[in-house]
Amino acid sequence: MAAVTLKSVSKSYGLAKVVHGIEFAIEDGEFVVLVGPSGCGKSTLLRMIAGLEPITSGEVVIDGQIVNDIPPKYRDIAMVFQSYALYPHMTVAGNMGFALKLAGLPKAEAATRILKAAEILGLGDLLDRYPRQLSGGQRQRVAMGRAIVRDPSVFLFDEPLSNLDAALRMQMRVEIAELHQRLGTTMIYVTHDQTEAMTLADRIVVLNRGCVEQVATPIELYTRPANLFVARFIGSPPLNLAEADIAAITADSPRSTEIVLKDGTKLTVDCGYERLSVGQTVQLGIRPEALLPADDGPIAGRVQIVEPLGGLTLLHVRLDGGDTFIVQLTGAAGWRLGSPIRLKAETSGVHLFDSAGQRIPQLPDDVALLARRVGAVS
Amino acid sequence: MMASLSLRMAVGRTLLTVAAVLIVVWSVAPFLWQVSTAFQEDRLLTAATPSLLPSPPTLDHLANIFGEKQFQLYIVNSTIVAGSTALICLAIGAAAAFALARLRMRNRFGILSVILSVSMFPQIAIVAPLYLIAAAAGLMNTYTVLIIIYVALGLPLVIWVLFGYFQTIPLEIDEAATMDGAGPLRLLVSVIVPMSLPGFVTTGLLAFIMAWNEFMFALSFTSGIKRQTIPVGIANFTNLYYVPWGDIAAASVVVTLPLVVLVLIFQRYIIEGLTQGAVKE
Ligand SMILES: Nc1ncnc2c1ncn2[C@@H]1O[C@H](COP(=O)(O)OP(=O)(O)OP(=O)(O)O)[C@@H](O)[C@H]1O
Ligand SMILES: [Mg+2]
Repeated sequence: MAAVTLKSVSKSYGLAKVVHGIEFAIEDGEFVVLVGPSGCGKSTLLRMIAGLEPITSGEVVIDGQIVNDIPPKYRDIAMVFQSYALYPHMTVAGNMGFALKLAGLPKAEAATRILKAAEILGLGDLLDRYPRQLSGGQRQRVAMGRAIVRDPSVFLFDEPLSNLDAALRMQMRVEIAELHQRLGTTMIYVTHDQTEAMTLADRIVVLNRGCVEQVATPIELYTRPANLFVARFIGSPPLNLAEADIAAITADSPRSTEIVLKDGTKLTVDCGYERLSVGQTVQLGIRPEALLPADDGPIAGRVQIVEPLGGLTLLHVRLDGGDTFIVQLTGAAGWRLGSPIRLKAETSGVHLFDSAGQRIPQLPDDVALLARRVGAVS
Repeated sequence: MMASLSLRMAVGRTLLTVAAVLIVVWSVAPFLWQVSTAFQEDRLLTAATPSLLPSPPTLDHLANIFGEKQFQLYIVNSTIVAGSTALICLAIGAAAAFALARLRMRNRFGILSVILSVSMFPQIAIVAPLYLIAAAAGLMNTYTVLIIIYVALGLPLVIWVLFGYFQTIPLEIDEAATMDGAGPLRLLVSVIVPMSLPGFVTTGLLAFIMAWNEFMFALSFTSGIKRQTIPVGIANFTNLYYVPWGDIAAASVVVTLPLVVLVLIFQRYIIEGLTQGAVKE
């Protein structure tokens, strides 16, 4: 087990700089997920940690040791590849045992370890098969088994589930979570899939164009996105965005802020914001599940598309001002196409961003503030 | 519409079949003639109307080449020379192709072009200089000189084919092996080579056949039955007064058989599919 620290790690291919001074620390035993749009440098970063890709500048520190110039085999790291990368001419046992053989482990001990890993992954009956005789999910498991048997101090996963179908992906996701609980080893996991990121991660690192946008727990990332990019990237369906102006601020308790959309719709949220002034233009972001139908709601529009998802229903609502908002409702209420709808917004799901796209933090509400003060005194 | 389509398909298929038959006849006919000649009596070979089926068939020629002409010695020589050539070509070629395909290397295509250009020298132009070198090095009339020359001639093809083969192996396999603790040599021996067996079999066979059939260098650098290879041996059958067509045909048939057998043995490797299951396609 080991902590992993990245100190202003950069990577250039020739003149093209693809990773820009990445800086974050992963604690021992932590499960960290790297997410970001395609081409943002997730794989590159992972491969630099693995030692498969030279580091242009900066330092990668594993277990207190700078590993920049240490070849992969001495870093005590195992990696699971997106394409599995199994050895086709070796059996399942051979695939899992290859690293142990190279490490010079006695045969008997290697066999014990392989058996144990196979048992964890449900591969016990398949040890003598060749990769071509396995299903996609089984190959995936062998790839994981190959990593597990080595008992490394860090696991790296590069989109390990993206080649599986939805049902299998969910099953494997749960298995990876169990594996982490069981082994307690540091894991760094790259994925496109938000659900994987949110469910697996202790902390998520959001990358964009080779830079870190935010490092935070899944809940924090969702409830307090640091900027517009993170707010839009995390959450499905995505955050509803509209340009708006600040019409009025009530600073006294109970605080409130009046926000006017471009079409004149007035929205009042019962909280204050740091460094916000009347007349300021902001980006207003509202989570789809924070929009609720209400007869006296300030936002008016018409239902344009209804997407029933079973337990949830998505309404695409065209506002009178021309914007389209997505509303996520629980249940399967009988909304019809074209029917008029009025919506109100819950304060917790309303986010404001300044012209630079940075989050304008909500002031802690007074009740919470009071509670905290009382707590601090007693 | 449908009728004309199926008619066109039928015509197309017939033409294809006819073409295939023509090509097979074109390539097999000389060999069949050779086989037939090998079992005909000498006097029938020069008859006014030659017949394809030997009547009566005779084993005289076979007996002749193995008894009187000691053809088996040439076969041994050729087997040693061609076998060593193939093995050495594969060993050197695999290392070279691996380095070119997998290791960080500057200007790999420049190197590949140079390698290819080596095989473009007209062979007749290098016989004389090589002769002088071999004589100076005391290598005349040895297996070694033939093997060295054949390896040099065979390597470009072997390197190119293996290079192409290695490139079809996904890089992630290398990376997985690297993570598992394999260095370049281990990677080559334990992963790349086993995954490229079809490529090895094919190129090995090509190098073997090239050395087995080569005539000019063998003629120039060897003398006497102890070192001469099959093509030279067959040429020796002819003397000043007489061309023993029957013996020559019998020898040709005999030396073709090992090649056919080799191809049949390795046939199952000369098919694709060994990399199946390695990565998700
Ligand atoms: N060998 C290379 N030479 C030049 N540029 C490269 C090389 N490898 C990657 N890049 C560039 O580096 C950037 C980051 O690539 P990387 O593979 O890390 O992206 P990623 O975040 O893993 O994307 P994806 O989600 O699609 O896998 C990309 O813009 C890519 O074009
Ligand atoms: Mg990637």
